[in-house]
Amino acid sequence: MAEGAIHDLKYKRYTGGRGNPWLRALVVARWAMVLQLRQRWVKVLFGLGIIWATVSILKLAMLSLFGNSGLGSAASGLLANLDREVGITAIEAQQGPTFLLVLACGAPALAADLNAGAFQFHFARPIGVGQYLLGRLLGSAGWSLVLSYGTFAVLMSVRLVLGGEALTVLKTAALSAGPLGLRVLAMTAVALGLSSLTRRKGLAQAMFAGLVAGSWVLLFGVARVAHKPWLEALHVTGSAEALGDMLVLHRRFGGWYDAVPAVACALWLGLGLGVAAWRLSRAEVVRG
Amino acid sequence: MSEPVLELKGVSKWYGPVLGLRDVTVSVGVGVTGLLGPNGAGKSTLMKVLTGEVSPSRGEARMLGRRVPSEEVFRRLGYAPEIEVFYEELTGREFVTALARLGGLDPARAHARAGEELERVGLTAAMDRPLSTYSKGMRQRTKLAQALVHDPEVVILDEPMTGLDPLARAKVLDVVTDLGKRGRSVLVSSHLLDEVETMTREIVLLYQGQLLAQGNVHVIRAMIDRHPHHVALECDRPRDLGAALAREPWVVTLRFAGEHRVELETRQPDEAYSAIPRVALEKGVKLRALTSPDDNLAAVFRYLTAERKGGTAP
Amino acid sequence: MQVRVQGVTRSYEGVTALDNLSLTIPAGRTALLGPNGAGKSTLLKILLGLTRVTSGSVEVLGVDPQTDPLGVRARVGYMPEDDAFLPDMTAVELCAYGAELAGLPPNEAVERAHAALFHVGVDDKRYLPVQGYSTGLRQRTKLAAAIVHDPDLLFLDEPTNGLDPPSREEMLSLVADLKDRRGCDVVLSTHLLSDVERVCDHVLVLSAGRLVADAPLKELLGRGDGRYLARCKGDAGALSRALTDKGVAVTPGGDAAGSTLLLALPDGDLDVVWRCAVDTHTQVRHLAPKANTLDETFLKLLE
Repeated sequence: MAEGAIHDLKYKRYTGGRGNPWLRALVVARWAMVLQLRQRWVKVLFGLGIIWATVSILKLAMLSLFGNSGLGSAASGLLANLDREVGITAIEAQQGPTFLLVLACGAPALAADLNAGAFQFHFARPIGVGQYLLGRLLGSAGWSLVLSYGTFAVLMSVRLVLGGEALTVLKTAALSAGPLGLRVLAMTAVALGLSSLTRRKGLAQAMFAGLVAGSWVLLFGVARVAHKPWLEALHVTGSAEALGDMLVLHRRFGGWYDAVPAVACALWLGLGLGVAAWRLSRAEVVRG
Repeated sequence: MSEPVLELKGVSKWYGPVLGLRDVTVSVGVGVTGLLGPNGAGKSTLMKVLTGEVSPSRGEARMLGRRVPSEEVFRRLGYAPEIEVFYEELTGREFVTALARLGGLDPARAHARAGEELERVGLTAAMDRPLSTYSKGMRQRTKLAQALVHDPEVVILDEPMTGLDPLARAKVLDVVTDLGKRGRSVLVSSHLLDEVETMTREIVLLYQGQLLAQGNVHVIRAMIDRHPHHVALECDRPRDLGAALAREPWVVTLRFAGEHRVELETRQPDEAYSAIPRVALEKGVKLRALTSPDDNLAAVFRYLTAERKGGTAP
Repeated sequence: MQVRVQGVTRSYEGVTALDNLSLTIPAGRTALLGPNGAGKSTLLKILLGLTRVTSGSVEVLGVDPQTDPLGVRARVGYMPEDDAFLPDMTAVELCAYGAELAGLPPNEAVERAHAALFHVGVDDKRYLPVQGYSTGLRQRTKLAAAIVHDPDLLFLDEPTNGLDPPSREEMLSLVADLKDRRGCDVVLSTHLLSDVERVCDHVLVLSAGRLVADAPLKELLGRGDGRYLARCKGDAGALSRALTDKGVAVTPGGDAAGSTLLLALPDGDLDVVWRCAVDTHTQVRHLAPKANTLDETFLKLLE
């Protein structure tokens, strides 16, 4: 009988499959989210988002309970619409935290890639600009999406459990789920577009914060003063929010202006990704 | 050596816990001086201390008799750093012209000088293309042109040969030796002794942030002699030559390799290299080649590293 | 036959980078040489499917990178000259990520990441972020990342740039080993011709977008032509004069200290040199036939 064995440690070639290239966008997104968790700010902001969500949830729970017990007659107007209002609450619940998260994760993403030579790393591999950009979009928006949809799911459940009318709540959920995600994605796309223009992370973040906050002040201010509410729907995140208002609360601007939210949202998404794709397609993989 | 042009007195530099230079005192005169050392030896740090880009943690740096950083000295200095700082959308000529303007030249003169220097480094055809289209070798030469455009007295070049093809290397070599001949002071770093030896014999040798040797290239060669040498001899009758050499007191080990080769190790290189031809001639052995893998700077670093690790040299 | 390029022209913005270029890259270790602007980078871009040809056809491992760039890049590796990393990643993560991007499943990717880093000798530092690495370690990590997805063909762009001699020697051994240990063919694009002499067995030289040489390394180097290189300790002047007196043609060897000499000794009898060395008390530290170096061949080709 043999008393032992010598194993062949020779190099083994890979013979398995390589999957669909578009699945690699998910690889990019997953790794990006894992790496983001190592930054203290991302954890802090995520925690902040959970606190924020808790406040919204408690508010909703209280309103629901008061409404059920009939004590909240003062707010009866609001209560009548509560099942639909919960959709808008869900869309807007994470306004602050998701903005900060995209500022922390999305705005510096491509600038940091440019700095470290990550374009060379990626595009020498079997991944194209489309897959990479989709991966960066999902990766940069990832934690914001988790936070948004998490809050959304809890809010809807709370309302369902605490006396909402099931059909109305589910309909609201179905209508508000889209604008909720679009809001984060449009914001992230803009962040990536700006990020691709520079290799300085700080500058990319400043540009993003400046654009989102600056245009907010401007558009919302003018909308109020000039009594042209559709102006708000031109904003990066305002567009998806207005789309939510329209779908869930049937708020209208009237005439052609009703198209503003959807068009603006698509425009921001397209513009951000378009700029980023244009910059990426010009990235030099082989220099010399 | 005449009046020192560049001088460091007891300079140490730490970057946080990382040591860049340790108590380096060195002075450099007119002509070309090679700054040698393996990666991480502190060459770039030493150059940055001289240009005033970083201030030493201890000690002082002087250039042309003045303490750096000094505005006046700065204008008489040309510096090509290792890192790349370019405005990618500018053309080579625009970039060098802009830096010449910063160096105090008037617009017309700056433009003309930029053209001259870019031509000298062999970028005549490319100088009106944007820098973003330049290869690494072309960027290296643009940095060199930029350093020379205001005709400085002192020139500091950090690894100017890296990434160059043989044609470009010959160009840069010409430019550097020419500067030396015109009485400029040039400090040029490299990690390859061969490369430096084609430019100058004055050498400053750094190792782990310390000054290991300075002076004529022969001083460096002498340091090489402090370590054992392996010598390989190709000849027609290796057995006879080996037998004769084995009687010499400076031979430590001796072995035969193949039909026509004898290899020996010695700790007294001077004796060995003097005696080998004599013995071969006496015995009538036809010696066809003599080579040693240890007669170079790389071997010294190898021994130093091995000593530090407490191991034996290869 | 790993690569076949047939009548490829590539021009943009009025500049012709490749001019009706045809070449094949055999299995083994091939050097791709040429001065700056010869078209090497453009060729690499085309082979990796990163840019299109203006005319002509290309095949890499039997696949056309024009129509299936991802298919080609799944089977080739590319090690860029500059740093190509991701912020905040450790070497293991970087390699595992690289393998996953080439379509390997996550578990397989991690295993292969460790194997590749083991191969290149990145040991205890592999769990630390790459930003803190030395040049040598970064270069090795780049090599590991380029081979982690088990490519059949590897393109290396200046792999020893900026390395000091010991690290350079190790990098070259690793590259030379790839074929034997992993069955991976290698294309080395470099300016350092000594690297080519050390690693490659076939050489392609481009100049101004055309192929000017395509030959086995041995053929390009040729045999010695009776020229010998001598290096002495100190000044070689005395030896030089003594040899000139004996009728040997002596020229300076090119170093600033004047300690090297080029000797013409067509009959290969060196006794005259040894005799003069003993007589003038000059130590000869090196004396061997001076083969055509690739440097010289290269410069001649480009004239």
